[in-house]
Amino acid sequence: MILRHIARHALRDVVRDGRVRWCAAIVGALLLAALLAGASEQRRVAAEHASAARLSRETWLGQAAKDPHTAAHYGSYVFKPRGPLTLLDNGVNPYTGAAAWLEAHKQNEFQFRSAQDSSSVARLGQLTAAGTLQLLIPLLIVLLAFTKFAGDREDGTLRQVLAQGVSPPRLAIGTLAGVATALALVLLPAALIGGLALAWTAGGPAMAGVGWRLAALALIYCGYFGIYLIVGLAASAALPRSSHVLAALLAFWVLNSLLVPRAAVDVSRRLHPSQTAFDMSEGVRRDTYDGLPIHEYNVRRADDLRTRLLTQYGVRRVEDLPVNFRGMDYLEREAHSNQVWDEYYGQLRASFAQQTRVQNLAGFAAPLLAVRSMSMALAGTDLHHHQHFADAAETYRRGLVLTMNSELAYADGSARRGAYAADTSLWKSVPDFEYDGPTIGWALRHARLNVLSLLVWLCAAPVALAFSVRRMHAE
Amino acid sequence: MIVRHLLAHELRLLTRSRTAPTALFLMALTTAYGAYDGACAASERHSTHERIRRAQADIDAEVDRALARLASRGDPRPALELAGMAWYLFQPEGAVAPAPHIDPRRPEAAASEWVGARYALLPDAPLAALAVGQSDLHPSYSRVSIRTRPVLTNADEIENPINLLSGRFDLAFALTFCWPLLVLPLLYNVLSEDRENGTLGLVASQPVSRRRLIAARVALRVGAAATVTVVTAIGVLLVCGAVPGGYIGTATLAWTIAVAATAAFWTGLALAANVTHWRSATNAVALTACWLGSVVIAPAVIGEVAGALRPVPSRVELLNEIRIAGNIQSGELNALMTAFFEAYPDISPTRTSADTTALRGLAQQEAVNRRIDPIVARYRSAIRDQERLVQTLSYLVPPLLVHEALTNVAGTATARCRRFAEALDEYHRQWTAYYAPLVHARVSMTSRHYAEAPRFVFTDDQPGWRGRAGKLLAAVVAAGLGLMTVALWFVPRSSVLRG
Repeated sequence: MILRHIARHALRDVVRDGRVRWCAAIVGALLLAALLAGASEQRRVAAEHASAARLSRETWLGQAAKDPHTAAHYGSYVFKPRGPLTLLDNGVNPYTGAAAWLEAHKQNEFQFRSAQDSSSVARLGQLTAAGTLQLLIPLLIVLLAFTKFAGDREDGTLRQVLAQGVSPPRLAIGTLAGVATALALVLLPAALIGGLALAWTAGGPAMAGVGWRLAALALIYCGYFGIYLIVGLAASAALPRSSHVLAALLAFWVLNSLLVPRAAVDVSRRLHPSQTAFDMSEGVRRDTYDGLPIHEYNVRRADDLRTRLLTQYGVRRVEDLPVNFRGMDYLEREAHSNQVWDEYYGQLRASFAQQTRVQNLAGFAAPLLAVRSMSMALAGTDLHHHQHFADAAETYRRGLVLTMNSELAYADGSARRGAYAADTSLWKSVPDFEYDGPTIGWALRHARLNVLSLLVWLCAAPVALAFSVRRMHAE
Repeated sequence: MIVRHLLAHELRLLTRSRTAPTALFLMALTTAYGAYDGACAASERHSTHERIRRAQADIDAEVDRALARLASRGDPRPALELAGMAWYLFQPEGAVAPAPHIDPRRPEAAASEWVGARYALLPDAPLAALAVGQSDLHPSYSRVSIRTRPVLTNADEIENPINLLSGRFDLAFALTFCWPLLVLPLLYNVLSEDRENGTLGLVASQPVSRRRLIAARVALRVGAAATVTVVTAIGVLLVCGAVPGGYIGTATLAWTIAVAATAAFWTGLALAANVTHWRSATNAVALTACWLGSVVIAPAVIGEVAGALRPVPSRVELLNEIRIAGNIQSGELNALMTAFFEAYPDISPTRTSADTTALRGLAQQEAVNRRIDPIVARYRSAIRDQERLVQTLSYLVPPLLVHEALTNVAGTATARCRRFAEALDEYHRQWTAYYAPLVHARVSMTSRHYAEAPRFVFTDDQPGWRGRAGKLLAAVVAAGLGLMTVALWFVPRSSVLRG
C-alpha cells in the first residue's frame, strides 16, 4: 500500500514538472519522427532492392548465347535484403554496402555504402529509432531521476518521509516504480506507433523469428533503461546535492554514449589492425600467381596442365582431349583462387572479430556498447548478419562460376580449341539467389559477450542502489 | 588596477577550487588523445600511400624489363589467333611472348590492370592530423585502367563497419563534442554564483565598469581553457611528427582560430544564460541542453531534413540504371561496330582476333559511357544539391561549422573526397583518350609510350576549400561575438547585477 502511494507520488511529481513534460514531448516527437522516417526509408529501400534483384535476374537470363566463362565474368549482382526490424535499427548497414557483384575469379567486397551518399553532417548523428532509444531516452531518464532523493533532501521532504517510518529500500522501490511508469507513458505510445510502422512496412523480405526478435529487443531496451534509472536513483541517493547528481549522471552519459565507444574503436584498431584494400589486392594477386609475373606463371602452369591432361586422358595432343582444356583450366584456377580469397578474407574477418571483441569488452564499462551490439544483432543489421549474407552470396557465386566452367569443360561440343557458346538453357539452370537469414538463437550466440556485460550491469546497478539507499542521509 | 586585483583574486579562487583544475586536466587529456589519434590516422594513410608508390614503381620497372626482354629476342609475337590459356597450351615449346591481354607491347594491355594501369592517389593533406573527417569512409586511392570506370567499380578502403559507425576520437571531435562540456563548468555560474552567494553587491560596488569586470573574469577562464587546448594539441602533433615542418605555423593558426571560434560561441551562450534571472543549476541545464541540441540532435535533424528536401537517388538505383544502359545485346554490338568504323574512318577492320576484341571493347565502352554519363551527372548533381542544403542549414548550428571547418582545413571533408572521385573519373577519361588512338593504330608500345601516358594530378587549390574553412570559422566567431555583445549590453540593465 505504502509502495503504491510512493510510486503515485513520484509519478505525480514527474508529470507536474514542466521541464520534464517538455523534454518528454521533444524526445517523444524525435522518436516518432525517427520511426516514421525509418518506415518510409524501409519501404523505399526494400522496393528498390527487390526491383534491383529482379532486374539482375532478368539480365542474367536475357544474355545472348556466349561462352559460359564469359557469362561467369558478366556475373550477377545480389542485394542485401532489408529485414523488417531495420526500421528500428539500421546498424552497420550504411557502412557495409548493399550489393555485391558476383563474377568469376573475384570475391568482391560489397559496394555502395549508403553513408558515402550522405552529407558529412549525417556522420555526426542520424535520426533513427535505435539512436533515440540509446542516446536520448537515457537523457530523459537522467532528467526524471536526478532530483528524486537529492531534491527531496534539499527541500527537506526526505526527512519527513523517512520520519514517517518508510524504510529507504521501500522508498527506493516505490520511487523506481513511479518514475518507470512516467517513462512508460512516453514509451508505450511510441511502441504502438512503432508497431504500426512495422505493419505498414510488412511485405518486404521475411525474417526468421521476427516476433521473438522484437520481444527480445523490447526486453533489452527495458533492461538498458532500467540500468539508467537505477543508476540515476543510486546517484541521487548517494550525492548530497541535485546539481552534483545531474553532473555525475551527465558525465556517465557522455562517457557511455560518446567517449568510450570512440576510444574503444581506436584501442581495438591499434591492438588488432586490419589490412588495407591495397594490401589485400596485392596479396591476393601475388598468391594467385605464386609470386611470379603473370606470363611466367602462365608458361609454367600451361606446361603442367598440358602434361597432366594428356596423361589423364591418354592422348598426345591437346586438340584430341575429350574435354575443353580452357574449362579444365578455369575449374582449377577457380579452386585455387577460392583458397586464396578464403585465406585473405579469413584474416580480415579474424581482425574484425578481434576488434569487435575489444569493443564488446568495453561494454562492461559502457552499457551502450552492449545494448547497441545486441540491438543490431536482433534487428539483423550487425556485422555477423552481414557476413552471414556475404557467405551466402559467395557460396552462390562459387556455384554459378562452377556451373559455367563445368559446362565449358565437359559439355558436348565444347572440346577442342573452337569457340563454344552456351544458351539460355544454361543461364536458367543456375537457380535464382535465395537467402534465408539466421535464427535469433544464432544472433544471440554471436552476442554472448554483450548479453553477459548487460547482465553484469543489470546485477550491479541494483546492488549500487541498495548500497547507496542504505547509506542515504536525510540531510 | 582594481581589475588586476580582482583578476588575481579570481585566479586564486579558480586554482583552489576543484572544478577548474579538473576541467583543464580533462581538456588537456581529451585534446592530447584527439591529436594522437589524428596523427595515427594520418600516419596510417601516409604509410599506405608510400607502399602504393613503391608498388607503382615496381609495376613500371616490371613493364620496362618485359619490354626489354621482348625487344632483345627480336619480335617474338607469333601470329596465333588465340588468347588466354590457349595461347600457352598450343605452344608446346613454351610461349616466348605473353598472351595478347598481358602483352606490354599491345596498347589495350598496357592500359589494363594486367599490365600498365596506374594508381591514382589523393595527396596527403599536410594538416590531416587535425581531423579524420570522412577519410575513413571514402577511398583515397584507386588503380585506374581502361576497362573499368572508377565510378562503377567504387573500390572502397577496407574498414570494420563498426568502427565507421562509432567514428574516431580526433581533434575535431575533442573540440566540438568534449571541449564545450568541459568549459561550461567554468562559465555556467560566472555571474549567477555571486548572486546565489550574496557576494554580488560587493562585486558591483567595486569602482570598475561591470562589463569590464565580467569580460575580464570570462576572459581569464576561457583564456586558460583555450591556451591549454592549443598548447596541448600542437605539442602532441609536434611530438608525433604529424605536421610537416613547413606547415606547423598553419596548423597552429588554424587550430587556434578553431578553438577561438568555439570558445567565442560557448562563452557567448554562457554569458547570455548568466544575464538571465536563472539560477546556476538552471544555467547548467540550459547550456547542456544547447550542447546536446547542437552536437547530438541537430546533425540528425539536419540530415533528415536535407534528405527529405533534396533526396539523392540511391546507389542501387544508379547501379540499376547503369546496368540497363550497359546491357548491350549482340545485335546491337554489330550495329555499334559499324557505327564505330564510320566514326573512325582511319581505322581499318582487322582480321586478327585480339585486335578485333580490343576495338570492340573500345566501341562498347564508348557507347556505354555515352549512355551512363547523363545518369552519373544527374546523380552527382543531386548529391551536390543536398550537400549545399546541409551547408546552409549548418549555419544555424555553429558547432557544426567548426567541425566542418576543421575537416576542410585537414583535407578530409566530404567535398574533397568527392572531388577525388570526380578527378578519378576524369583521369579515366584522359587515360582512355590517350590509349584509344594507340589501340586504333595498333601501335607497338615502347617505354616512351608508357612514359608519356597521363599521370594523375589532383590540385587542392580549387577555389574555396581553405577559404570556406575561414568563412565557416568567421561565422562562428561572429555568432559568439554577437551573443557576447548582446549579453554584455544587457549587463547593466540585468537585475542579476542589481542583486
